[in-house]
Amino acid sequence: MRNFFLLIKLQFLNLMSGGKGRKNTKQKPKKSSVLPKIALVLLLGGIFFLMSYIYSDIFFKASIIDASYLPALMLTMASIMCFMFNFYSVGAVLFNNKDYDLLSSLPIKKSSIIISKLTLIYVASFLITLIFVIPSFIVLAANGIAVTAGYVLRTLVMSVFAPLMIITLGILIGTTLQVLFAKSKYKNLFQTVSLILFFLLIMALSLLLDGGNLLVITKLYFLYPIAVNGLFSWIDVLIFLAINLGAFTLIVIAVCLLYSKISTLIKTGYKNKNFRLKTYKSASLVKAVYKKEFKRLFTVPMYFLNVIIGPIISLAGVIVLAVFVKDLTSGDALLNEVFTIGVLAVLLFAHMSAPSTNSAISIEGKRFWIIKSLPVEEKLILRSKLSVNLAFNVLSAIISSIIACVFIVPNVYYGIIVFVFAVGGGTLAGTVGLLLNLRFPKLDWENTNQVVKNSLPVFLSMIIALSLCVLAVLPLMLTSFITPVIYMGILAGIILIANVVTFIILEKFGTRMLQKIDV
Amino acid sequence: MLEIKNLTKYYGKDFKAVDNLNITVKSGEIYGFIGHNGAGKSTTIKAVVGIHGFQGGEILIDGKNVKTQPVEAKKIISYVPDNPDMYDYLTGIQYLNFICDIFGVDANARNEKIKFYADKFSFSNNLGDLISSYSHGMKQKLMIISALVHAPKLMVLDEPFVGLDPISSHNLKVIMREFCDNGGAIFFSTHVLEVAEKLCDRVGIIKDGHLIAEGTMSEIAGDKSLESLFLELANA
Repeated sequence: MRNFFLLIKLQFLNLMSGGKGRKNTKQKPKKSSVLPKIALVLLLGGIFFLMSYIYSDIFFKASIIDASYLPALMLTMASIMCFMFNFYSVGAVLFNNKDYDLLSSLPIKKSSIIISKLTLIYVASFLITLIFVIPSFIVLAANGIAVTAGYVLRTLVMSVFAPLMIITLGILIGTTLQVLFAKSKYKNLFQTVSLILFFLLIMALSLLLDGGNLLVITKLYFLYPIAVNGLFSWIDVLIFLAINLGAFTLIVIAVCLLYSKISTLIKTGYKNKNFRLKTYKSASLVKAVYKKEFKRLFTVPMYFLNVIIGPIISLAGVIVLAVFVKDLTSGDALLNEVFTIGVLAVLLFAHMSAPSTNSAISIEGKRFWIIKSLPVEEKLILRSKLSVNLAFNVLSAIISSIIACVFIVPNVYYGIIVFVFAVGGGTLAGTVGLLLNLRFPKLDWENTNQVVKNSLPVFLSMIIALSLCVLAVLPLMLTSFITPVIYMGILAGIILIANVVTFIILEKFGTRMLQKIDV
Repeated sequence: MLEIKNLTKYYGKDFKAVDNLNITVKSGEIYGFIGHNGAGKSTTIKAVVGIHGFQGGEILIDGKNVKTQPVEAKKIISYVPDNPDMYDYLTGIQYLNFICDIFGVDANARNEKIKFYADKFSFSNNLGDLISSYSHGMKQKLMIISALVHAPKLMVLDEPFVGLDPISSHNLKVIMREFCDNGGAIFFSTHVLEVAEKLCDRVGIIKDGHLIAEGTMSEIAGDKSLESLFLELANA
């Protein structure tokens, strides 16, 4: 037990550390540097809380389910969201760690190692679940729906155990993919493609099951009926707990038994037994640098997934909304405007929340010495990192905007705003993400999850994206005070100006910031 | 070939890792850089190759200032760090081709050189494997090969013998000597004092950021072994 808590402490220290980079590694770490991070996490949580309150309110007013089922619906939403965010990272967290050799050589139980590695994912999933569930109680209370203490307690107890199933499924999928492709030369590419296909399958399934209706999530999350019953009965809560805990326990036992074998298989990797040296085509310096950047993106699954999910949501989202939802609003001008604002917010979030640049420096890790010691201009390095964001985030934003302009938005003025939000948001996120990562690099990571999902620039990018989204949907809540179209126009102008300003800052200071990063 | 003039490097505001360091390495010379752990060897080396900045002094590589002409300076050096961290997602040959592309080595010349050095280090059969599957020693070999293929003028090596098997160690020493005999210069750090004694034309001993002894083996050690001298100076 003591060892288990020591491992948890290690995980937490790594999460809280500023990382090697601009920080002076020779001095003792200052305790005060933890507080800004905690403040940021709280701010991020606050924004998520506000958004989930808005969603709860919308669901309640739309009367799509019995009002008393609302916490179960929000628990389902949280679970699906956590699953989408974590289903690859769980496998990567377990098996691609640089401290594997060290931990395996120490007198620590395998179960302690495995569970300690999953702890941060569990804590994050649990907090997200709470952030989704608690606003539903506030909505019910605000609308005069009386809930008992037992009702609240049962929901909270289910919230504690709900993340376990998500983690179990993540381990299953992640481990299977790791093992299947361990010996392949293109294992990272195959894993990435498999995960994208899996993600698209879920989205396609959701369309087939209920024609794009939101309640499809209640069919995707197979524990929803038990969760609903659990709101009213302790026996169903126990069944819910048993299923979650049982599945998690089984998977942990299985992983413990196979941990060494799977880790060895992954570490051994691809061996080319029939390698013959041949004449390779040479490339220019510029092409070599850009090629390296794109190759990394495609061969680090966690990084690629993080980058691609936003564009996929954006593209799939506008297509689904254009095909299935648009008709429902076309007769009503006000509803149409509300729908358009919703689309704007979704596009903004999809293209701003996870740019490739917010971890583009950190992902170099301990290999940063390579690019720093080579005869490559710093500006070229920065441009190659921005180009990855342009290729995926911005290109998909252009396509999504065109689809939205043609099929969704009510007029040309809104069409321009959509374009600025999506494309301008994407480019802004790229520049800001890179500036943040230059300012707060984290080069001493153990697995890519720490830098792609849990680092300070990633949190800050998410906060900026969410803040802009909240600003974007403000007209929906303050229709008496704001003329939406003018307000959105002003916001679009701000995004354009921010683009120019951040680009100038990057051009002026980016090189110096890169030079200051110590390896 | 390499001139380090009054080099001073701070970490943070208070900690001076290197203090007023002056070193010159001429063409044709192997210069051994020795010191205790944390003496400032890697800091100095990283300043030379442009990984770290520095607060005082200047570093010239074949007359090119590392601060004002970084790209030109880096074009003629190769660097092997103390930890062989490379791009795990590439194969050995892909990494070598990447390095050759950066340095503009043409396709035919690179093929010959890669084959030559890979055979020297018994590494040819491993070039097609992913770097993630390499042992520490294999990564070290790959890094050394990548440092040689683009024909630098100055090689900067940070403990290059760590992890190498005896045959590869011997081959590396031979290659280093030949490199300098052909006009190149080598600036390398090592903890293996016997290697430094046999291989180096000149040696510099650094302690707590200061150069405390420098010269040929006979100048600084006389009849004593380098180990005895080092222990004497380290304990002084």
